[in-house]
Amino acid sequence: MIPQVRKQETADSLVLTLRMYVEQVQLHLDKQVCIRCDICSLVCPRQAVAVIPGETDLDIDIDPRRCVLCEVCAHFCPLGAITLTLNGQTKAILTEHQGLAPFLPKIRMDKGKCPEACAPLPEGEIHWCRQQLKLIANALEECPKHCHRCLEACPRQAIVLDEAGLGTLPQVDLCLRCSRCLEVCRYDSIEVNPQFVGEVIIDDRKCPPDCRKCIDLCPVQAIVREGDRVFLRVERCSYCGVCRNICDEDAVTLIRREVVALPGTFSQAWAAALTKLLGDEQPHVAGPGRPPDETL
Amino acid sequence: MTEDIRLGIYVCHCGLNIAAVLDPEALAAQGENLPGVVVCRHHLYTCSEAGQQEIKKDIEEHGLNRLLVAACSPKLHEATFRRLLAESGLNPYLLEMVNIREQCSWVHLQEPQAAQVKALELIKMGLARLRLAQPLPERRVPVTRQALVIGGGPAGLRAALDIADAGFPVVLVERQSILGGMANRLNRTFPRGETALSLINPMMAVVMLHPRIRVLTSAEVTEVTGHLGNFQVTVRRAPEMVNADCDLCGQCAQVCPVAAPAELEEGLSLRKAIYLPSPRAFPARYAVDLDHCDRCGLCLQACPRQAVDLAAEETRQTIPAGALVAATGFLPFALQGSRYESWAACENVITTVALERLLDPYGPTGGKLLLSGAETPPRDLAFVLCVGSREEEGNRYCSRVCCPTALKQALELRARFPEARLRLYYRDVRTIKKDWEDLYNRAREAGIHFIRGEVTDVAAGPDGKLLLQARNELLGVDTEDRLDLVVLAVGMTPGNGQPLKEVLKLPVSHDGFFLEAHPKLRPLETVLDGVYLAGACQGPKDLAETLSQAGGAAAKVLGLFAHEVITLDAVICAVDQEKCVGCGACAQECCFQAVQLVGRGKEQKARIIDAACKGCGVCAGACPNGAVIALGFTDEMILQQIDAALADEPETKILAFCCNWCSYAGADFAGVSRLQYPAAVRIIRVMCAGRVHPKFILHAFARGAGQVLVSGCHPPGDCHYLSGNLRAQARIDKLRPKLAQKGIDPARLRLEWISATEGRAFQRVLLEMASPLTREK
Repeated sequence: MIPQVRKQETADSLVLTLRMYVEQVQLHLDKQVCIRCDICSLVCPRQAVAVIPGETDLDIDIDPRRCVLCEVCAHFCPLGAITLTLNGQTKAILTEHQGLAPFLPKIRMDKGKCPEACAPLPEGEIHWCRQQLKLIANALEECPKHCHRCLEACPRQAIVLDEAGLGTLPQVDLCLRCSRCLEVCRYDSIEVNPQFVGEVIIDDRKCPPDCRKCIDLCPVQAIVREGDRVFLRVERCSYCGVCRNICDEDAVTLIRREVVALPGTFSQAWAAALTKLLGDEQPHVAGPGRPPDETL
Repeated sequence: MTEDIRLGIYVCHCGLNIAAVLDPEALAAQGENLPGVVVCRHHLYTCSEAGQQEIKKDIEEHGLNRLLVAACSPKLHEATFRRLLAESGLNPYLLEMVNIREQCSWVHLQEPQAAQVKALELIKMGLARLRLAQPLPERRVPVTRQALVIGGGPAGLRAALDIADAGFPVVLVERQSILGGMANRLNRTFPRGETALSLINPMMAVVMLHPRIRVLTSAEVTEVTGHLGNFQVTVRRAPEMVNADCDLCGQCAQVCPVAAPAELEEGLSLRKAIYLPSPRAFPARYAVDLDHCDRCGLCLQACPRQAVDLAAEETRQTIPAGALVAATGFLPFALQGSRYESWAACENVITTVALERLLDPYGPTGGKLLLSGAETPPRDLAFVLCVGSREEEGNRYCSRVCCPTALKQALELRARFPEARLRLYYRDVRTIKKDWEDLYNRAREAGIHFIRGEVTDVAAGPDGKLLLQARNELLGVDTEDRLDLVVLAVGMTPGNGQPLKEVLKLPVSHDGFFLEAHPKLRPLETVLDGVYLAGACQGPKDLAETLSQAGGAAAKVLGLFAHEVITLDAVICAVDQEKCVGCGACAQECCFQAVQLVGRGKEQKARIIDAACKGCGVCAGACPNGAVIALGFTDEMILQQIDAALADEPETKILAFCCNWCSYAGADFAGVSRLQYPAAVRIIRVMCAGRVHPKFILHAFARGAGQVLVSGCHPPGDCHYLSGNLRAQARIDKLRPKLAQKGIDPARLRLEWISATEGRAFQRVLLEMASPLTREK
């Protein structure tokens, strides 16, 4: 029998496998990491990915009849939730052959610019903390000794303490480039490169009273509600599109004006993906079990 | 009608075929007294040389101008006697063949007296028609001496080469992007163990280089119009994504990110969306699979010769051809969707086709038989024969080649794994040709264990082994064996020809393979003049038989091309301009757009385009005024036949209108199969069920017919004239309420679909229809 792509789904993962006697190609979607943005479903050249809105959350599905294991989704996923392997080794043919533009590194920290640790003090001594702007005792819980502003600002715990437990380090896998850390850093030691330049506009006249769907799901906690008003509390979010996906009232408009990546000439796949991300294409927020499109 | 009709009747004994049931001498005696009959004889074998000479002498001596031969089916010898008439200087259409064999003596073995009465009535019916027969002008058309071969496998290649070598141009149309067909998937052939590569590739190379052969790959035939000697074939070619500049460097495939299973390697290895279908087959060029391509365009950039163009479009062209050869081949039995699907889902259960790829040193594993998950070579291997063949429900036929294939592969596995235990589960071992028996003997001597019985299940067992359960017939016990590898010997199915069947209206047998015109007399032709068959599309066969049949089909084509002009059947339709009122019913119902409405308003009349007319008579069946003259099957002829049939005891009779291509042949087949039915039936042959005008049915009931049957080809696609059967159905549906109004029970009129191989169905219908008649008696 000619093998076909087979899907196996659990609560944690969705795996598509094409098994041919001794060779095997797999697509692994980590559902815990995935934030159900709409980027992969937009860029998929074969419309195989669908983000399905539920009552209060979103689900994601990949149609094994349409997926050709081509790596485009894996490249664009802001969190690397999708990985492809060929016989167990990472399959990244598109990137190796300059098919898609590499994105700029998410976040870089120049630890040299971070401030020195505070001067050592006797145990328990009360002193003025420059960071917290209050009097604290020199105890581990209260006095971190190092600037942790970025760590505290990060909505995704993508900045963590280093091995010594003192300084901060970025955990790139979790980062969504929202730049909150950039805004709070006083020492210019952080470089964050966005994936998109765009706008999220919330028309809160359409928001039902006390609806918190987008607020709860936003992966960078960018949206707040104050009474009747619902708005973004930040200048720059990750432009992932989760808020738009979950909103039933059509209150959220996401406009991506630019995709930020390394310059150069790449393939038609890149150009096609850009058109879909920047254009007016609706994401595939549809039900599962759609039959394959014959006109593809 | 001032011509003096001088009829000659010849009643054939056909040895004992007719004479054992009927009395031809008595029939001849009775025939002498019929009006217009000048000569009435009987002969042992009318079609023999002696018989024909007798007829010719009579024509000359007695000035006969109409000939009636009461013998076998016209489908056998109509052409013979038409030629006889032509040689005697008479118009070939002044012939009537009365079927007293397939439709009388063979089917009424138990009722010889009734059969005798029927035979005489059939002769009277034939005379009624013959008296009205007019000489029909023959149509002579030039032959386009170019052949079109559909299918580029071994059969198509051989046929194309033979025709081209004789000096005529050939267009070879192949659906895939490479030639070679299923032969590309073979490793070694039986009985000599030669590689298929060495046998087929030289043919492919010669075809590609031959100055008179034009090869169109990735092409399909979408439409065929015309007739013998003058076909117009529309071919659609898939977009040419990779052009001839491709030099097989493979850079495109390296950069393609898509993963897909390689169908030509039985899904055993990976290919990309742009891929080389076969490293050895011609034409050697990469191809793009649009079903998997994600349009990334990396191949475009990677190709150093800019040979890739993803924006190419499909093209269509119309090719003239005088003859078509259908060589669409076969597909291996598909396990998916069959009752063996659960077996095939197990690890290490493969088909003989897949094993062929695994054993091929140029195959996906380099000739190594690697079992998934095993480090040691396999120890217990088994073959299961007759998978998908000789089934109770499913494919009933024997696929012929699976036994020698399995034996060949078993011997090869024995050579590679001398320590392994090889078993072969069989129901029968059919090694029917010379040298194949030797394969069997060698396999037995090699220590392969032959187990006769039926395999009931193959499932995954413990420790990664397979559990095969079978009923051992020789020992009478149920067995369960643990195996490392199970190879299913799958049969052949006629998968590829479906689109062609639709396009050409090629009849298929009940097995699904293309139906030859006659299994013994005309195995290379079809009922469609000018369309010939070659290879496995006509029935399971091995490479040797395929090539031999292809050579035969080529010879048939060359026989046609030996003439520059041929004569077409004169049976077409014409419109009597005086009677025509311009209603346009004929134009609407004609399936071939052969009727034009000329003139405007009250002056509008219908006119039939001779070259397009197929002679079905659907127009005549639709005309409210009887203005359409169906030459050879005119309204008067049919009405006279009805009268002759229902002259005596009409209420005991079943009058059947049978279409020439399916139902009349089905009735003949019932005769060949000796299926008995009551002698109450009188069959009137028409070219198409659509010829039957409602007035014929009403006339038959007015004359007191007990039952009337109208029988045609199965809708939707079997009708030789596309939708003549549907026209008949529409008319009969409209007629039934009118019958009721006239006080005739509508159940006395039946419309049935009976195909050329459904002899049993024909018998059943007639038995059903005859039972109320016998009850009334």
